[in-house]
Amino acid sequence: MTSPSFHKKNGFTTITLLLFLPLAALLAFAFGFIGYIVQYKTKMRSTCLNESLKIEKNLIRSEENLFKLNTLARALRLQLKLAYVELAAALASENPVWVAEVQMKISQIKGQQKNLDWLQQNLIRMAKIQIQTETWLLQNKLSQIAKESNSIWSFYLSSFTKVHLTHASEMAVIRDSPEMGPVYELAQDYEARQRLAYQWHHLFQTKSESQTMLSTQKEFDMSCSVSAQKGKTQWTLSINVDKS
Amino acid sequence: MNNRGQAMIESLLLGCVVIISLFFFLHLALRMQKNILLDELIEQTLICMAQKNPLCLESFRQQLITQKYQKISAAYNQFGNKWSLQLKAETAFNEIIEKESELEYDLAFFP
Repeated sequence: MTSPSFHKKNGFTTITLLLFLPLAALLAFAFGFIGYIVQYKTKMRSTCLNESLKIEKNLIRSEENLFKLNTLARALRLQLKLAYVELAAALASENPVWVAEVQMKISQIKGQQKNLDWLQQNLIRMAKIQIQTETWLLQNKLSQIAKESNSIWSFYLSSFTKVHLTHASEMAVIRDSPEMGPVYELAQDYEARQRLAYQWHHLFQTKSESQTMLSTQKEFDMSCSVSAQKGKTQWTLSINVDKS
Repeated sequence: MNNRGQAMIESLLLGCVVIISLFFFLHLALRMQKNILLDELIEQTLICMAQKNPLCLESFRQQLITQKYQKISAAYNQFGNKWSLQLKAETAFNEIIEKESELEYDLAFFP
């Protein structure tokens, strides 16, 4: 047999417990939210930096591969100059066989220069495609990370992240002459042209149906960029992270 | 009447237990939050060092002071592409925090 007073005891204890539950829930909630913001920032920042460094290194590799062909370009240019001197001598000697031989040699050299030019153009084209693809993939990856992070709190927050590519890196090379098979070198403004920079804008606000009394709206911008400087024997990469 | 008095004593005892547990939980949660924020601050400082900014350590100290840390001892080292930061500080509750963090970015590139 349970007396009515026993029921009263139970109710009193339960109510006491219930008073503290919202406070405990609020604490857990605040803790979870800080964790979410920190994790979001860290993941976006580290992905942006690591992947941008990879893209920058691939770009430098492509440029260096192009510069490796400069030795051949210079050799062919010298051979052509010598062949023209030889042609002048052959013409002066009025020896038609020698003239024909030298002319054949000149056309062979020009053919080699044409092949070299095709190879150089191809390298540049491939590098451009590679950089564009990698840049687009990284932008996509950052958007995906933001989307996944935002979905965790979607029951409470409306979040929005827009990732911008603020500066796309490009091959900063110039040819030394308009002729076939030129020598390529780095452009004066290579550092600025090779720079890769992203910016993301994050906005979140409490959903009206879940929070009416304490509505919150917050937004922040973060950016990451990578650039490179050429030294005597090595390239030095610089990273930059900013937030506002 | 006796039963009512007993219920009150029981609930008072239980209330004490709940309040102590709550304070313990609050303390734990705050500690974890501070830890997360400190880790984030250390990583930001390490990235700042990788950016070759000479004011990173001073800025780090200032931020720790703002967060009520005392007796701050912070030192950093760089070995090639690795940046490390050692921190020893005391919280407002006289808890001693010791942390060592490392960051690695391959910034020197030989193609």
